Amino acid sequence: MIYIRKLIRNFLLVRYSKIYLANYFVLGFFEFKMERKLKYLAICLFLVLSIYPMESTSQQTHIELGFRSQKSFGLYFENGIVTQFSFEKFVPQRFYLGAGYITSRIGSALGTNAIKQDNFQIWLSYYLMKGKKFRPFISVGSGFFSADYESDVFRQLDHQSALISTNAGLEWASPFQLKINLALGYNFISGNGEKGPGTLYPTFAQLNLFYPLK
Amino acid sequence: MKPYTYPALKSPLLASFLKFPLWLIFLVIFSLGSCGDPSNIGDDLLDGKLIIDPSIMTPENYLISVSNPNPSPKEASRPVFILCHGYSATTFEWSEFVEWSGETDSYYTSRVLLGGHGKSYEDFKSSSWEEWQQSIFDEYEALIGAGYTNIHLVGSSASGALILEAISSGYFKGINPPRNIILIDPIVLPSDKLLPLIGVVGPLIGYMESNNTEGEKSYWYTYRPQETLQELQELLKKVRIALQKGVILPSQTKLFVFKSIQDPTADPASAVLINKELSPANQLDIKMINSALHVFTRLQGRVEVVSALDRNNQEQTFQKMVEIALSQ
Repeated sequence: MIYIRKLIRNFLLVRYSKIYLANYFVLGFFEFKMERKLKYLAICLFLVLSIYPMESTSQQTHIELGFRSQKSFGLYFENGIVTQFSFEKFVPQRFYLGAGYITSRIGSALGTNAIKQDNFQIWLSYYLMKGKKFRPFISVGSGFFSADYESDVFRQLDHQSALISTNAGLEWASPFQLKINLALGYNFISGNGEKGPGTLYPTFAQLNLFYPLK
Repeated sequence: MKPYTYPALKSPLLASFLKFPLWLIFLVIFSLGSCGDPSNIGDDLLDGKLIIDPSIMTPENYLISVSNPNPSPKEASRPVFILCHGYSATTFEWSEFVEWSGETDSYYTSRVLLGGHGKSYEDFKSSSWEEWQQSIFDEYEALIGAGYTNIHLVGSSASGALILEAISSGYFKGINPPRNIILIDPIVLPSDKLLPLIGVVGPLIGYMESNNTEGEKSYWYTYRPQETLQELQELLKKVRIALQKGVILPSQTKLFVFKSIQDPTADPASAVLINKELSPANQLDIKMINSALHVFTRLQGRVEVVSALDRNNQEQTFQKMVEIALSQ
């Protein structure tokens, strides 16, 4: 209980204070430096997952845009933007395809010396109890992780990795359309000292805020 | 008047959620009943009651503050290595450096036994990281008090974290700082990424068993109490958060880190954090070592086959340590 209380306190008091949120948007993106291939990957990801479904299914796609805050148990807060789609022709409002970018640059590394690391995520989610206020869900995800170790001394160390993860949680549909969900997750690929990035941790908690665009 | 009755639970999910705490309580009670301390601690283990670290019985063979408490001016200016071992280890961890040094009169070696270590499982279980650290402070302050002026702190594994904590908490501000700090495979990020969950999982498992070799059983704890793992996790978290905010070295102190590129205990990314978060950069020197051993300077009693490369790494690092101390 103490641990959960601490986690909630961190979420509410520290990470989401007005000053902190302002910093995310004003300062965070100025720091945004990424390798060229990661930029291409991100652009491709969004082209495939954003533009194509919208064009091909026209009005039959439900789109939600939102914010994700992810805390690895034992390491950093990483925050970013997420979007997810539900298709009218395929298990509507239950089956979602999502994509997002979260980074410690607008999380623990903002204004501190923490390592800057980026996560490009895609996932498939299945929501139970359609039409209810509280809906449990499960997800499986994949993606790409990259940490910036900033020095040639560490060139022998793994700093990039594929992501394969699963998570499960509960979503609350608030009266003002905003969906808030909390989930616990597990990365199947993580660092173990011998291989894999040392700052990629297996267990994490997520807070997601989704707002339906159409 | 009709008495009020609670509405029936329409949602099966809500109903099962309300029942959840009951089975969780049963699970916790069952789990607590099935764990605890190890029941079969043999006398051939450090965890038992027979074997203790020899520095407890004969500290004069290990601590310079005890063997030479009144140094001459020449002796007081001679370099002293305070050698500190890691979590669940003993003074044995640095015995190879002492043997390698032989009867040298160029420098002293003082091997510290961390608090709570080197005795029985129960003694270890009840110790805190502050007690582990206090033994380092005791020897450091005793040497300063005796007049030694050329002190070099050497920490392996968790001692690296204890020394980093001492820097970040300002311990050296009120006292003469060491000339150099040398860290061998310091741990800030554990390789076992589930260690942060020890606060939740620990009470259920009681202890963790390590796969020590026959040669290691007398010098390393075989059973690691979850209480001490929680202490270790608390220490690592404190150090990581302090580093994240930025830690400044004492102005006269240089810090050297030697880190294996593959380490099953202390993640190599620990060196990345130290490099990024400790300042000033010109007082910091980090060398990544081509090794897959944790505390690669200790080769005796290994289960792994010790290669020529491992021996070379050890030799090179010992030479470098002496070079660092003698250069000042």
